[in-house]
Amino acid sequence: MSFRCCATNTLVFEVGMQPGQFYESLAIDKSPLDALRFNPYYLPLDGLRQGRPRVRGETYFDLASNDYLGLASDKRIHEAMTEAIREYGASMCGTPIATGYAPILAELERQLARFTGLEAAVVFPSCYQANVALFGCIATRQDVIFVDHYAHASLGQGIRAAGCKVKPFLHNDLQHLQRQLEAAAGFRQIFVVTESVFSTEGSIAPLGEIVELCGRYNAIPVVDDSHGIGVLGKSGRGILEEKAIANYPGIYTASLGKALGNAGGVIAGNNLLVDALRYACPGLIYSTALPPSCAAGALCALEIIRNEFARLGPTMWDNHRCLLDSLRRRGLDLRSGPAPIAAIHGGSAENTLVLAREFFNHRILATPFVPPSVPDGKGTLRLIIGAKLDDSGMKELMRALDGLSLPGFTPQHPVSPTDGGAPAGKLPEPDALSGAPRTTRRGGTARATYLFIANPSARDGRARKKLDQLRLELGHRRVKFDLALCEGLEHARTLSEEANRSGCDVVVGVGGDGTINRVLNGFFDANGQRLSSARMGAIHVGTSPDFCRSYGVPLDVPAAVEALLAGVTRQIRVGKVVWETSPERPHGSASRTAFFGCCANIGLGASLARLANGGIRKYAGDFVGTFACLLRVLLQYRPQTMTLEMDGRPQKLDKLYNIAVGKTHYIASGIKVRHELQEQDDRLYVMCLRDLSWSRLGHVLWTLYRGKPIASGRCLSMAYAKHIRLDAASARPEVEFDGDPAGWCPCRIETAPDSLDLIVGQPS
Amino acid sequence: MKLEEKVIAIIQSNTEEKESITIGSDLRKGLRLDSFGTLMVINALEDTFEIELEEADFARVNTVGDVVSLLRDKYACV
Repeated sequence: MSFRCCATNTLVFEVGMQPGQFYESLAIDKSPLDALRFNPYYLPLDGLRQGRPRVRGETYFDLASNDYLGLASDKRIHEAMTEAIREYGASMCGTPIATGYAPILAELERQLARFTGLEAAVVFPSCYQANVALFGCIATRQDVIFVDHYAHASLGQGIRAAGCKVKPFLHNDLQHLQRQLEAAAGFRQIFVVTESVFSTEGSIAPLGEIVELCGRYNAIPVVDDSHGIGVLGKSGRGILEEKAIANYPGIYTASLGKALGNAGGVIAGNNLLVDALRYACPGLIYSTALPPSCAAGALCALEIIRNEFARLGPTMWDNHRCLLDSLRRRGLDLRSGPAPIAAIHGGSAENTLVLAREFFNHRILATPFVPPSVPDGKGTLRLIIGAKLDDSGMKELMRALDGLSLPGFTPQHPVSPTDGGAPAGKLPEPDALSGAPRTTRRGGTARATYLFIANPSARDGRARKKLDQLRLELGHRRVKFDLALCEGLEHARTLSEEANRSGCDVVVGVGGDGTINRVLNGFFDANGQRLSSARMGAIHVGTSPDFCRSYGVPLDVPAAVEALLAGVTRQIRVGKVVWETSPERPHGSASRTAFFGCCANIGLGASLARLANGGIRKYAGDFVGTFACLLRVLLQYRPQTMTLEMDGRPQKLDKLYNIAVGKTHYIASGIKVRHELQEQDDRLYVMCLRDLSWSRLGHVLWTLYRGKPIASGRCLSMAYAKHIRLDAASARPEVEFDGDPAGWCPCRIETAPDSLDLIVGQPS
Repeated sequence: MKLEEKVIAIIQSNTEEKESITIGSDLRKGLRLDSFGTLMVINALEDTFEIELEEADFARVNTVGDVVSLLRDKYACV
């Protein structure tokens, strides 16, 4: 089944068609809906009762609308809209260029520009209209537009209508995009178009990297932030805040009809662009302006988000996690990305509609996506919980979800091999979970699935005792869990990746910094995007505790388990490093990508890590052993000349011993770095150690081991950058991160585009 | 490399579907190519073989084998 209009879906045509035949050719085949006796489309909603919609007199849970923050039913917005109607009437009945430009519309445009951090903004009657109108105004036949394969229909419509060359790229695939950009030649202008949040499944675009690529190839980025504005970023300002993109050089569009709880669309960017649209965009200047009441409502929504996102944002995320937990327990096949959107894979259109009907029968409104909105066989049921429901509403929803009858829907994929807890490949049965602790702070009956990935050889095998302690602690608390023993660090990464892909809620690294780093790496793809919405935990049973110290995770096992089950979660930014696997190969021939939670070192750090990991700490302890190794390495290490490039500015540094790049305070066995970075900062610190002499060594060690402020000087210096590149002309310096040597320069380091949800011991 | 292998490699690197592609794979039902997915494959074929494909031609093909035949018969690709 597919809701395609026959007239546009046939290759057979007749000359001289009769009007009757023409209208017949438009017929939509709705027989599958009739057979199901269920049509979720154009469902008449009778209005709200206590913020919830009613259908034929019954009250439903609204998990279908895009009202992420519940602002559509906020009385303050209703009052602002009513006041605007009194002031301006129902509509200005004119186009904005003529008589439709009310002062309140101008104020909304100013506030939207301020909110998004862009120079200027212009408001359209809808974002669909804005997207369709935009490209016809800015692109010509001499241009090329690269567009993400899964971009919204409105972007596709606008791009196709512009008449320029259209080149889709694979969804969120930076390498595919870069290959195409490299090959693009002979065009007047290049545009790269994407969405911030892809609303069918909730994936998020790597916009920071896309903007960087655009800069490299003189392309203009265009992003539709409809599902990001009011949702992403620490204060809800959308994708540009989420990805910490300052001075965005491109075009920004967004809907005012989703998290802003209203109607309308916006295009924002620089003054020249916005002015051009105001005077030359037919989709704007020939269309009746957005009613002043909607402008007033959107203005009020912006004010509420500014003042209350600190409360609304966490509620939205808590509710979302609670919903995901419940859906997973039902064995549904979730394909959700990191945005607060739950996407259930329904397969065929018929199956997806049957799934939607089951939710509907339990008073839950959800959105079924069937072809042509999605490819054949990729039907999806989408649920957006947002911040609409309070604690009692969430409990009621959980009860409704528990009542779903879902035979025949795809079960969860198995998780990794285990030696404890629940049997391998099985999620805990709902009735086996009684007494298990809550991991979400709301919602009553939600439970999480835990996979502990432990390295029994951590701390030279002495971790085994602590693993027994961990099992005991989990048993006391009646936690159902899976425990996978890894056979080496890379195996830990593989297990973590499998757990992420199979829908596990919480993946816990159990070991030292090395094991925890590999578990962290299993959360990301090569671009630095999250594979799932799972959270990560850490239990320290190994030698180096720098990761746990840095993020406030308790170091003793009972306290760490307590913190894990309390579930306080922080979004942390991790580093992404690309390096060479061999010192012999030509530059760029065999690069690898990985992620680090603490710090990467280029230079003597790798030699130090190798020596310290050699066993001395087994006898001397972490601090003394590493300190002894440091003194020995300093004696033997030959400083090098390296090229350090920070945010595109290269500099040659001679007599260089080490460059440390990271985000955390603790970087190695007792060494502490005092820096100015905030948690969501997408910059990294770059600490250089060079031209070292015995007379200066005492001061350097005192500064680093005491965590003193670093006053940049010849010997020890501190700088901050988003993008760091390192190379050396002669010998190839080694690269190390989170305590293990990895490979060789040249290397590139930056913050990964997606944050990691880490369960920590104390609130941020 | 044979034309069949070239076409399979091009389609493989221009689709999100990770299933193995054979000469008999159905472009829409098997590989689930939608309009942008189809356009991505057409662009890649055009760039590789330095031809200009007509979308109407491509609308008539169903399988990878049909694409190979189209390229061979109408566009003289080898």
